[in-house]
Amino acid sequence: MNVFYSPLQHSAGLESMRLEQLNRRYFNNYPDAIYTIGMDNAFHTVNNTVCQVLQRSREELVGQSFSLFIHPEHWEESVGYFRAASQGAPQRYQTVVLRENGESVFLDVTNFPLKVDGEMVGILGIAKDITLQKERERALLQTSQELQRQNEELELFRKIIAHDFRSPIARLLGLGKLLQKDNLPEKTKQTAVNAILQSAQQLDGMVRDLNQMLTLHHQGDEPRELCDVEELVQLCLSDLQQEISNAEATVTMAGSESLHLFTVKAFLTSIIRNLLSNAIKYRQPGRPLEVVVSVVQHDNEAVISVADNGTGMDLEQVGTSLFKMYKRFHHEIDGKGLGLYLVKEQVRLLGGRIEVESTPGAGTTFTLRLPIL
Amino acid sequence: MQLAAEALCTCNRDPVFEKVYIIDDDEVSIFLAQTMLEAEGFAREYESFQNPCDAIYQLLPGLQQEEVESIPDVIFLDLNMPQMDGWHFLDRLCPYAEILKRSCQLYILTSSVDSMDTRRAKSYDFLAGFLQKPLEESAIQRILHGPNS
Repeated sequence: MNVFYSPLQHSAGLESMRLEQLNRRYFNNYPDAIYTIGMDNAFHTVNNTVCQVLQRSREELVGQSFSLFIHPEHWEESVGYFRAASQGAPQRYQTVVLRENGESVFLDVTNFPLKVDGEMVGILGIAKDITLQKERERALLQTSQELQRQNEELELFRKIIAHDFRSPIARLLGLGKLLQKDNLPEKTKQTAVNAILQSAQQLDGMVRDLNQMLTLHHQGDEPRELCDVEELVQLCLSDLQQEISNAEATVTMAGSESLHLFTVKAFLTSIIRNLLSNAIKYRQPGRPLEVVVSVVQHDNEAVISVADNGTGMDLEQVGTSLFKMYKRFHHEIDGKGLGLYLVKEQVRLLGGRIEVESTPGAGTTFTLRLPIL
Repeated sequence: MQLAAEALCTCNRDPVFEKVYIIDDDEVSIFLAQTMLEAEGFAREYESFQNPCDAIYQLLPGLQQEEVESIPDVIFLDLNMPQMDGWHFLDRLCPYAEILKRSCQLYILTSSVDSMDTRRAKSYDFLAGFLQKPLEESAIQRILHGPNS
């Protein structure tokens, strides 16, 4: 029997179809998933779309508890919604079901209570596949978060230029004007000349830092390679040899584990070098600096820590500004704190985390955790 | 490094002010401001603070007891400082706005060119002005002799 007649010409044929038959066709071919579930939680009837969504045959579904197909993270709430509907209150909610191949499908579900002769017998439900919509939402959210992050960064750059870059420039201008004056005592002149050089060096350092930071943003998809972490630490130590010997510091490697990481070599090197250089910078005057670098594997993470016995800091006072651009905490030490900002950004780009513990007067430990891919 | 600002007096008048505070974490900035002020015969005594907390401790007794003699005639205050920034310093002084207005000219002296800072400064009515570093002769002259000098 062919039912797809034009209704105008063949209304007699259409009329000949029993309403029940029409309902069944409608039910089976409806583009959303339609199903009934009994009070025992088991599927009673399912339409074709339910089978398509779950990628299972009707036989695999009917008689089975619907909760078998719900994503475990949504199991509890879905069962709760089902219970509410089967107690007589229609429910609309979103949930996630799992296909046999492990794929997740997002659904917008409406369940109505089903009564026969005034007695609850189960629910009738309609579920719309909203996976595509959800994916778009997620992509949009990601984009807007990234945009927000970049905007915040732009605001930071503005502040850096308005405050931090202006500071050595104002000094250079002032010192230049001062040197133009007649009758300057020799000592004042000498101080001014030294301060000019110092300010110019500071400005130079900031320009280099800023350049490194801006370059970083073009390096989101840097190629990764297999790196021997201990080798990288040794590389950093030889880079910093001069500073280490000037500070009369002792650097020891703890944890003899050989650890290989599939990572961006330049980032990891820069992170380790910055942490070591910080340890040297913030050493406690009058106490020989000891730095312990440890490299261990913990679960699926490489844990690299740099511990020093330096000045330490009051983390409560420092708060969240520790890893921000251009924050200075140590009065006596030159240079702006861009190093830790770079560290944080590079750790973020490598998909890792960094934590800090510190006790004023006792020392600081930075712990870096990177995923082992 | 201690920067010595040697007396550099190009004028022979008596200094106009008795006492000046320069609050700035950066010693080069202190050196510069003080040398420029000295060259204009600004004050008899200059006291500098690299940590604004020290300046607060020194100011508070005089402000609380309204001893005008112990309050400096002029204060130059930097904004970006690590332990306590200039804004925090100003907030601490807010309760003493009236006596400050009567006895002390308080200037912000900053290298910042952020317009948000100038706007924010307007909310402190006891501020005498907002100066941008470097401190120039003309600005010093205006403080000494008013805007028409």
